Amino acid sequence: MAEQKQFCTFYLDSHMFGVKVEQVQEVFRYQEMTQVPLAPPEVRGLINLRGQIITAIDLRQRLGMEPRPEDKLPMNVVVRTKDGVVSLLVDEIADVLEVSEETHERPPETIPNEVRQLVLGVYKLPGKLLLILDSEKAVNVNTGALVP
Amino acid sequence: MNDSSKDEPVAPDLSLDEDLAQEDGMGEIVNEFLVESYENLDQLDQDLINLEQSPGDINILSSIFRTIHTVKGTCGFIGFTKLESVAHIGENLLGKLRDGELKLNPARTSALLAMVDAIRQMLSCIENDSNEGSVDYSGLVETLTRLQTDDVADASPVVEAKQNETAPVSSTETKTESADAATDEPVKPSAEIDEDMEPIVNEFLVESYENLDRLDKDLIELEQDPGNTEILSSIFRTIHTIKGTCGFIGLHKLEKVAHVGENLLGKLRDGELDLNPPRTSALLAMVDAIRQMLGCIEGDRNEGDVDYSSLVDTLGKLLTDGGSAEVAASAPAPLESAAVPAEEGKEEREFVPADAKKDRRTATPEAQAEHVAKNGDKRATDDRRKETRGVADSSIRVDVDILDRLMNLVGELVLARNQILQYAPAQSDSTFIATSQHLNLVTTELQEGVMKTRMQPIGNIWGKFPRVVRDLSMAVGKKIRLEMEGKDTELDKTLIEAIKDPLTHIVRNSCDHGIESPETRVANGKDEEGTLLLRAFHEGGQVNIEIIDDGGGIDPEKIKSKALEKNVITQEQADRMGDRELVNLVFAPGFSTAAKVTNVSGRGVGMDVVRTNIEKIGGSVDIQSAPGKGTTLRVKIPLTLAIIPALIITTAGERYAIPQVNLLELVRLDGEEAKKSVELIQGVPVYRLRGNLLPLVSLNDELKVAKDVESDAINIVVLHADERQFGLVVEGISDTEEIVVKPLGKQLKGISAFSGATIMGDGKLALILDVMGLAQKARVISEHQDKSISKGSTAQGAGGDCQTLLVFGLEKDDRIAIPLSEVARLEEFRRSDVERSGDQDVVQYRGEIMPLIYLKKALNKVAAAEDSEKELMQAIVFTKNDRSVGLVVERIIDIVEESITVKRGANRPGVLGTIVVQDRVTDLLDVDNVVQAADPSFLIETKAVALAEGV
Repeated sequence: MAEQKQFCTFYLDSHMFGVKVEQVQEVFRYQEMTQVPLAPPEVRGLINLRGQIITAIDLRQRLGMEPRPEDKLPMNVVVRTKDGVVSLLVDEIADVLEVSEETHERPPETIPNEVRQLVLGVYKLPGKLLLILDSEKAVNVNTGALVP
Repeated sequence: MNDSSKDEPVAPDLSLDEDLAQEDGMGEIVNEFLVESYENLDQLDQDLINLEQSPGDINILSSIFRTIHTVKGTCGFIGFTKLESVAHIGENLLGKLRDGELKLNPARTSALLAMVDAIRQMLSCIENDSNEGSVDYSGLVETLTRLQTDDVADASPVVEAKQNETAPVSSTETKTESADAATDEPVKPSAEIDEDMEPIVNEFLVESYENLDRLDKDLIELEQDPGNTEILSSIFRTIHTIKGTCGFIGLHKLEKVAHVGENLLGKLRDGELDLNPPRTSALLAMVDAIRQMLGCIEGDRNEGDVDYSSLVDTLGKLLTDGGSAEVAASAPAPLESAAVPAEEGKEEREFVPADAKKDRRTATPEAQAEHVAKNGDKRATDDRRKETRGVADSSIRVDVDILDRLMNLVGELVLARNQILQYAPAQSDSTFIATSQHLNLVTTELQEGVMKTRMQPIGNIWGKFPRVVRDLSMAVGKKIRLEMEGKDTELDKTLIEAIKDPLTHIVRNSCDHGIESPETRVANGKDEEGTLLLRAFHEGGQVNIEIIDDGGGIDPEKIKSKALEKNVITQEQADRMGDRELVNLVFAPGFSTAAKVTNVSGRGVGMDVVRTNIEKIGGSVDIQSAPGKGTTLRVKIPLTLAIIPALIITTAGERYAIPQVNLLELVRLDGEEAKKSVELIQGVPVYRLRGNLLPLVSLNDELKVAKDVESDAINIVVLHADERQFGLVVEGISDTEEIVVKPLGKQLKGISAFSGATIMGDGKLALILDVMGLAQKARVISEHQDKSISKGSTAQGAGGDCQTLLVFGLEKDDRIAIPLSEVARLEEFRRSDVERSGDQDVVQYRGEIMPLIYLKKALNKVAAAEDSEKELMQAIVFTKNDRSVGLVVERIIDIVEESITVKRGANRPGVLGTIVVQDRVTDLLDVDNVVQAADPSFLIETKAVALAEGV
């Protein structure tokens, strides 16, 4: 029997992404953020999550996608990584999906490099594709290089 | 003393895996032993060094003796025979030292320190692999043995050295020795305790009370489960520790009681005797007796006059009951011990007044107290006893994790308090307002209290330095005296931990590089012995730690050539650096000044790590050195990291927090004043703060955020970073607040402008500005500013008519000055950018063509052809009537504020006169003259051209 895996899924533009459900601490609606001057563009700001200060990373920016329309507010997917708790800003949060390993495939070579680097694999679901995000890599935004 | 390992030969590489496996229940005891021993060893290091300084100090000797004795004793019970043998032989040597049979010399000290190291090594083996490790310490044992017999004519030590092979025998002997020594002393058993012993006695009391409480419990448990060796060992050990300590302090009566009890316990443990109710009762009575005596000691510093001889007799009887003959035959140690009680009984009768002879079991506590009040010091009342008993109960050990959690919770509470305080004024309910005020007060107190629990004296980490310095000075053949000031200066535990390694490194460095060899010192007319002074003190919410040596100092030239050689800096940079900047290059990565790499230091990784680590905790480190006189390293660190007072400012609609430690003052300039008082030098705005130039940094510019509101007013936050001052221009200034520092995520760690974030009263976040980082970013940290300020303030103090001068040089050692007010900017040009226009060298500068005047040539110093080959040229730009001219000089030295007194009139063209600046003769340049001479077309119509441009 094929191994089943659970992913917390969300949308960016029209693409469906997922992160391993064990990595997700919580999801919540848009919350006001404190902008950080000089921060890399991927870092949208800081969020006060019940007394804990977490960094919010705009996944659209991180994946080199079009900026989110002004009128749309992002939602937060808070993931636990070895670099601490980080919020990933996404367009919309979808279901937790259980997928079978049989539908797994490596990311095709042809997708844009920014995306491919952060994608662990693709699951072929009926009617759509689920891209699995490497959250460790996604939150690894290097500020050192941006500071002269 | 009669331990399980008796008669076992020293077996250095005996692994104890099996032994331990057999005694699983010992795990807890072993752990406790490890914790205790590590603490003791640290103390030991320090004591030994102290002892070397004052070899006759009986207090220190006793303390050392006691520690080793405890370690040894415990090892025996647990079965660490190798460790025991090492400790034992050390104890013998110490015993002789204490009794004055031997004198302490460096060889003995070294051997003892080596023993401490060996013990430490074994402890760590025990901790990690549950055995003593396979290292052979027989060499050390031999050394220690030899050192014992040296200098002693008497043959007995030799015999004793042989006996060392069998630990129990000779340790008992040591014990008897101490008892004998005690009897020889003219001190009565119940004599007042020497005041010098006070700390030791107090420590002993605290420890013993703890132990006794456990003893009670253990004895009862043991009666339920007589075969439990773990409990028996624990009891044995406790009594043994008490007994041992009593001997050293001179509490012989207490010692006797404990001793005879120990003998009985030893037999019980070895299975020679069984525990029966009478024995348990006797042991419990012994515990009571000890407690009673401790009470007397605490109350009036003597053991009290109660006679415990019948208890001693009882215990002695119970000891010999059944199988004493057999015991005597098989084990010499117990025989000897068994003999002691009788002897003691006799002594007791000699010392104790007949009327005091009571069976202690009939002596009620009341009677005892009465007795004490009658006979002893009149202060010794029940009240006092209660009060001092508090000493024992007043300290507990708390897990650091719990403290950390508490600190976090207090942090949250402070935030909640801040929120409530913010809403309180808007409420009309007076009860609510009053309550919130109360909450405010309580929270503040709670915060202070919790902070205090985390404070530790810096002496805790300094404690190991005497050892470090001693070992180092021995290793490199130097004589170094270590002095410490401000050992009690307290700072947060986490900070203590964080500065431990950097400080050690600095101390090692000072010993290795700083202080010269005795020969060099003598040759330089210094005392043969170098001094290393550690000083700690609080200042402005920070802890300052200074490491001062009177060694050779650091030669800036040496640093310079080394830095150039290692490509740490370029030649150009080097030429422009002052001595102090050069000296501080030792903190640069990849830098090592040691001429040769020793095993002590010089691998070129040290000092930059030191700086990194200190800066990581929000501290700074600075080095000052006077060649030939010594070096001072100053480390500044915050008191605590978790909650800090901060000034809240706003800029571009966001709030930011500036740690109060960096804050000097606030300046607000309105309207016209703002325009007038901000001037530009080299494109950098400056403000004259009471006559001193204060470079200004715009926070908006630094953070690259747009201005939120246009305002005529300028708010300047005067900050200091690394002893330099600068003004941060912000849009609005709110208030000071206690903020809880929260770290930033890894994604934002690279931004040097921020050190963290905090949650404000309204739940929103504010970033905490890193003043150091900002200053570095804005490049206000440079030596020149610093000097201008420091010099300026001294000149101000003198009340002179000051003028700010730019000092520069043309040749190797000359100094020329011009009033800074005449200077528009300082610029650097590449030689390759210089073009020719007619017979004039020009550069393109700000969209114009600017003529260059080579000042060297203008002043006829040298031919222009011989001008420096440097790629970068330093130019002083003068602007008059919208026309600029650049004076090319060799190097810019400084900006100083000095009252100008022309000492000598001009005798050369281009020079107005000679003045003294910074105690150096300096030529005052006649700019107009020079410019006119070199470029007659440069019109000088209006002298007073406003250089100031509004910001």
